Amino acid sequence: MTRHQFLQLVDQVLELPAGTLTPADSFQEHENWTSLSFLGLIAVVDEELGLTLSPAAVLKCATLEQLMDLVGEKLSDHRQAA
Amino acid sequence: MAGGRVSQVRMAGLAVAVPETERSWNEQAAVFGAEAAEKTARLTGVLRRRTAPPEVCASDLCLRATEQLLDSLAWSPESIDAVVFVSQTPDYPLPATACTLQSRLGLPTTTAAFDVNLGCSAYPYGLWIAGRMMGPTGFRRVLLLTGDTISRQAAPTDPATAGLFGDAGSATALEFDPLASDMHVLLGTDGSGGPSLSIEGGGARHPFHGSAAPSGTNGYLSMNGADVFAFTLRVVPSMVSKLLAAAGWLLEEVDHVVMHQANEFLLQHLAKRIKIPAEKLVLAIDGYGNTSCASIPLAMADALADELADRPQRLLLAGFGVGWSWGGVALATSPMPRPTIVTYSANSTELIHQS
Repeated sequence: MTRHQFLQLVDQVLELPAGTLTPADSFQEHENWTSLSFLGLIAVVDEELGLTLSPAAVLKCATLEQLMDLVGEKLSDHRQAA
Repeated sequence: MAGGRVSQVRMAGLAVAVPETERSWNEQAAVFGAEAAEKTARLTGVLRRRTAPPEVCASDLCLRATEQLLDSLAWSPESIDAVVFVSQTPDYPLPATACTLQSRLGLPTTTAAFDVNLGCSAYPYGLWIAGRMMGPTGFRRVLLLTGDTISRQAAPTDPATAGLFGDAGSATALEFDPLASDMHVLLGTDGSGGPSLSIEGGGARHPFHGSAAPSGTNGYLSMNGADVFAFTLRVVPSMVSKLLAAAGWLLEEVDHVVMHQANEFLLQHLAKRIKIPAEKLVLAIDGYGNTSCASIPLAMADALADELADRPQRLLLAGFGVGWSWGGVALATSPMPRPTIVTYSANSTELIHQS
């Protein structure tokens, strides 16, 4: 999966049109973000990437860029922040 | 994971009692708005649930279920060796509710009776505990009672829990049988998950003073749904595969998988992950909600009554949640009286113990 595809996945979870969210977005502050979206995010990442996100780690992600750092090498074109 | 086998014990019968009052998912709209209520109902799968009035406890529901069960089996109370009551909502801090049930059921004073405080993992743990007490030199007939009135532990204003829980009480009859197939059991615990699903106030750590909640806590259930979901993904798929290996079964050889009815989204996701075919996954949450301790036997009685009555079944049971605590059982049942779900009404009388 690419970064672009991952962002579209999160768009889907938040019930937004594809291409809405960007890496700099604070996804947890979006009006569509609820406890149900949290479950949806854990589910799609598990299903699509075979990775179980740590809820505590997700809560510390201020932006989608940081969330992609969590997913890390599961994204083919992601370079971890130094 | 801990575990092993329960040998020479058969599940002789099963009954469940639920309260009269049925509540609908759309009651939540008044508190959270129509759109939020509908989204929650779609995710949890809870369309209706039964809730007990304040004067009805889990013990009352379990008692009613036991009446039904003993009648269907034609077992006399005098023939019971032990009663194990698994619940998070006992009648009193003390005495143990199992002791009062011994008296209310008219069981002999030679009965062993005790409570176990577990929720989501109650049924697998209960089968293990009760089953391991039985054998050629042990008990011959044990009643396993699992039930909760957990609905009133959920705060009406908490969107995570308000419309999720229902109340129920179950009774399972276990009997020593040298010819019974082994039950394979796996159990596990990770207490670091305690804070994610808890009721902090009202125990010895934070006691209530009169009717006032302890400072900094309340008497309501607190649940971190994301933590629960992540925990189940970490633990349940692995437990299921180990259980199948222990039993020497392929998944294709299992007739039905009955998991703790936590919420439908979680169960469907687990089923996909573990590759459980849709027709084998038992879902009963739509009519009853998450009934905590009673959810697995309630799902069995709701969805598998005919199957359990008519022919042998290979079942995989999995309970997981509060604690974190988890347990799984692979068991082969033989035909039993048709499991029933009875309604507990305010006018229910205790029919068994009549002098």
